[in-house]
Amino acid sequence: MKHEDVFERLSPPSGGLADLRTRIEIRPRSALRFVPHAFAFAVAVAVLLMLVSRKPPPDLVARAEAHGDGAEIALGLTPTPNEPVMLTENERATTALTRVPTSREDVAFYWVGSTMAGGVR
Amino acid sequence: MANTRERIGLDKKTLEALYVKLEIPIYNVVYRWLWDASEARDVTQEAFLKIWNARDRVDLETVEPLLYRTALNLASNRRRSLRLWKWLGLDSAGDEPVRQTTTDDTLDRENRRHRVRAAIESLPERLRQVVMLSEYSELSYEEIATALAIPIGTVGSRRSAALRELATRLDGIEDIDA
Repeated sequence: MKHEDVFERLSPPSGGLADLRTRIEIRPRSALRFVPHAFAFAVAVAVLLMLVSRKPPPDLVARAEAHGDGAEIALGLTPTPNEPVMLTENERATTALTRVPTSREDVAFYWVGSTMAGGVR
Repeated sequence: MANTRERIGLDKKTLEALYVKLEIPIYNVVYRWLWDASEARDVTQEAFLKIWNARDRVDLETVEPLLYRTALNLASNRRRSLRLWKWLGLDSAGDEPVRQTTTDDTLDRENRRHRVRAAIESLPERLRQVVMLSEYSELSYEEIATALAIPIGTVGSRRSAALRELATRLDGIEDIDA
């Protein structure tokens, strides 16, 4: 085979110099080249920080214990009292107590009738 | 000392003059890595852009070997990534478009090109680098040695080995000074 066939000289596509000039003009300066990378890095760090600093879910049991309110009953930590409001022996002569039914287990309404002030406990 | 300082640094006019002088030889060298006209021109220009970005540190005495070295590195990297994309089935670069062969001459030329490509592809990269630079560039053996970071004696031995290998695969090469 002939030498020039083995090492054939090909011509590049035309307009190479003009294209190179354009690429030099539009190519971002070396410092600006890293702006997109820096932005992506900052976003990644921000997301990471958000994930790390997220508050844990509230501890409902601890909250119920601290407040000692109806939630404690709802969580099963405290049995529902049979009768939270009761009359003493002395009060029974002067006071009547009737529980009013409600739709909520942790709420109790009482209708109190008394011939003496402050006779209910 | 003043002379050394004068040699450092590349202006736009010099870069363009270098491009006019070296576009075709560098294109021909990198084409033998990529086998695609568009990719070969892109890599050729990328080499000049890299040199331009480092223009303040470029030594004009060795800028030509540096350009070839940069182009070879880029071509090698591009070839790897193209192969990967091709393997993944996402790219067809490197496959020259099928030409309509209407005459025997054209058919012969295409067959010859295929044989040459296969022969060049079979060369190890270290041999291919030397033989392509010695055939297409106007670099001296010393400059090729600088470009490839190898001893001058190795340039000659690798060139001879590459030409022998090609001649074997192509049933001889006329006018070869191996």
